[in-house]
Amino acid sequence: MIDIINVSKEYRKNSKVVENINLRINDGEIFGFIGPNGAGKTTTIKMMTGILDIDEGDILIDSKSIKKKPVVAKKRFGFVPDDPNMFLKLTGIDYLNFIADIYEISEKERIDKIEEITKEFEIYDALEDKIQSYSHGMRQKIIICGLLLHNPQNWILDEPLTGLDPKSSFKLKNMMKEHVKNGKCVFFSTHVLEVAERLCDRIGIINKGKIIFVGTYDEMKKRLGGDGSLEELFMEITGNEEK
Amino acid sequence: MKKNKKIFNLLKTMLKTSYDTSGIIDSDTKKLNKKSIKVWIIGLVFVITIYLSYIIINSLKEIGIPNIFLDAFFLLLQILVMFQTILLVINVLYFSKDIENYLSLPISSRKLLITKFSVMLSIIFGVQIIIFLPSLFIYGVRTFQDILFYPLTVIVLALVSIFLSTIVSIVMIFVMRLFRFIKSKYLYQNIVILVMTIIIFLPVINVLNISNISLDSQITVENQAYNEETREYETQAVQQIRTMFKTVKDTNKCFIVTGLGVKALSDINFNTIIYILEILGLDLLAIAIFLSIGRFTYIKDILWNLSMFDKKKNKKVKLYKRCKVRNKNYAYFRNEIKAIIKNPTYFMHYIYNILIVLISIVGFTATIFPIVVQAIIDVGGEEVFNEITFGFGEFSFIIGLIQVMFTLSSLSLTAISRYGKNAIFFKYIPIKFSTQFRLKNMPQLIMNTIIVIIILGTIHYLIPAINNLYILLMFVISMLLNIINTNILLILDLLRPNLNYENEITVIKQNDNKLFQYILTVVSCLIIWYLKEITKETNLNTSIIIEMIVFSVIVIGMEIFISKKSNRLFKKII
Repeated sequence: MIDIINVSKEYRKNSKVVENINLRINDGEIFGFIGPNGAGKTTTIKMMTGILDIDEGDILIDSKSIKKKPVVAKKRFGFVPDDPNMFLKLTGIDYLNFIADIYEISEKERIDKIEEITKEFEIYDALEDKIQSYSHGMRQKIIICGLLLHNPQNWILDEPLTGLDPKSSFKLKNMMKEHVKNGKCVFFSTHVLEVAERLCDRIGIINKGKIIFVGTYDEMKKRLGGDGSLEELFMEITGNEEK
Repeated sequence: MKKNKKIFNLLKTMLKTSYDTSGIIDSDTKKLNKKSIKVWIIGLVFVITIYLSYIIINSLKEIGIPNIFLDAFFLLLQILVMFQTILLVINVLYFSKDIENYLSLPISSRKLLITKFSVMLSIIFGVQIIIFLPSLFIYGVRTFQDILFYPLTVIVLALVSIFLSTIVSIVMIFVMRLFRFIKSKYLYQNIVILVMTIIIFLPVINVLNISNISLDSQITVENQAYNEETREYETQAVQQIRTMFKTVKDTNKCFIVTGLGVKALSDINFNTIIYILEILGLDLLAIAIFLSIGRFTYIKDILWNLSMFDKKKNKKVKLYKRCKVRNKNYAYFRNEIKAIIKNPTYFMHYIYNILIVLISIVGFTATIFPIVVQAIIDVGGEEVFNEITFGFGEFSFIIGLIQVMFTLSSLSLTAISRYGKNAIFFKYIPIKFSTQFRLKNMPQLIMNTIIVIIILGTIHYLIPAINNLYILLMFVISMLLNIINTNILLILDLLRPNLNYENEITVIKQNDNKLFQYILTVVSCLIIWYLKEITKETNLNTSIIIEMIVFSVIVIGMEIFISKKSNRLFKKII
């Protein structure tokens, strides 16, 4: 479970990028975080993962404060950043082994897990190659494998489907569903509204640093009184905000 | 004409790419980048070269043998140009990052080779303008040469360098093909550099040895026109210098073009033109051979390099062998080391180059020092050694020297920046920032420790009279300084990280934080000097203890600061 409580952030004085946002992502749900460019999505995710300091408020990961007990909180989530170009000089297996060491995974568990997940994403045969030689999609897959390897309670994914081939994208979506079925939670940001519409239990829309909607797709339709797609409703809700 | 224009345009583009990434030219203003530390270092080298040349030429003039400067000069030129060519053939001709962009263009192998080779020569000429040309001009001024000497110097210098570069490039085409069985690009490059260095320098060393042996038995002394009292000593000194330069002369004779270069500039007359024409002829011949071979091999070799090195192994992973459990802190440290060693740019800059410099310094000192000592003894200066005592001044001097040598290595100065945008990884993993700080510092601490061991080891070898206890105490104080230096460098990188860079070279070479490392060195040396001054009246042991306490207090203060403020220190990584 992730709790975002009265969180604000400003890079320059009197210019809040994120203003007093409150969100609760419950166990057992996939939460889609959407918003236009520059709305504050990345800033929020960075604060959730401890990359950025929180100016006001707090974020709790399974009731552990990322502000006060960062190391404990960080053990409770796994993060897939939007840029998968990481540790390019390492081989795939070196990277996964490094992650396994950082998250203290036993030898038996890591061997089984690495075999299972890399075969699932069809990168098992490339594990001895440098990540540098991987395509964008393969790099994305190895980062996702790093998250699946330590399989934390909470997944925080920033644009996780970008660059994935349809088969892998389908598999990841299924894994997300499987993860929440086991009483865990997934928080992910996306620009692909169709994915959010089909996959998410609830959606949060952020615009100009403020949460302008939180709820299910049906609740959104009810609130706006329309019957359009999420894309249409999104345009309407963010458009209204502009006015 | 049209063909030449195509080559010229291509050359213009390549030169622009090459100099823009070097950081020497400001890409916006197209002027000299005064903010670049590289520019200041070049300026410093320029000034030092002029100063040293002036002193050497004057000294040689005093003993009546100024023209020997030309022989020594051309030997040095030869060695530097050949070594520079080895590196440039690898980095510019065969493995430059822009090479792939030109392969898809309709350019013939010969044209591409001509333009790439021209870029290479332009870099060689650039270095010559800074290091060699001023020395020759000073020689011209101090020996009252004719006005013609100066333009002819430029021509001779260029022609000699072209010949040397071309010959080395031809040899490299074959050597590079020989080692194709090595499949790692990085290992391949280093082995080729090593083999070529041996191929080139072995004859030079050999000639130097032969000349030394043959000269030992037949030294003739001509100039003894000094006053009677010092006559004997000066004769011996002059004799030694003559012996040394006779060897240099013999070495130059073995390398046809450098010999011709010396002859051309020794005495400006009609023969100079003949010598220049001879060098030009040899240049044309070498270039013709180079292009004849290169037109058939160049693009093929590049394509081979691109397709064969670091290609996917498609090797089956053996998980039970590869998945070893390690303590997370050790895994973190191991990753830091791997990130340096597995990246050729970082490895070359941070480890290979430093080790080469250290080995050269040690080798040079170990060779020259006994000769200098012997020379002093030969001229009756034994009492100089009797007067030398080991006090806190000498102790501090060595510590200061070690501090200066620390500037060779700046691993911690890019410990964060090296990861670029991916540095955020370290923000979301569950390891305390204070622990990460210490682990990130480890590579620099190790590198500096190697520097300390090599320097103190050399000192111990050269001056065995220094008590082992003082060597140990110097080691302890150096290690305290090591921790202080390393911590400050990492703090600097954390406070001013460069996470948005184009390539790995820019993060090293366009790093303004390097300037702070120099300032840190100056400040540390001033502290060492100040401690020496205020403990003037106390004995050696007490002074050492005071120094140790001062540096220990600084280290403890820093450690407390890092433990308490590590979260704030990592703030800029976003």
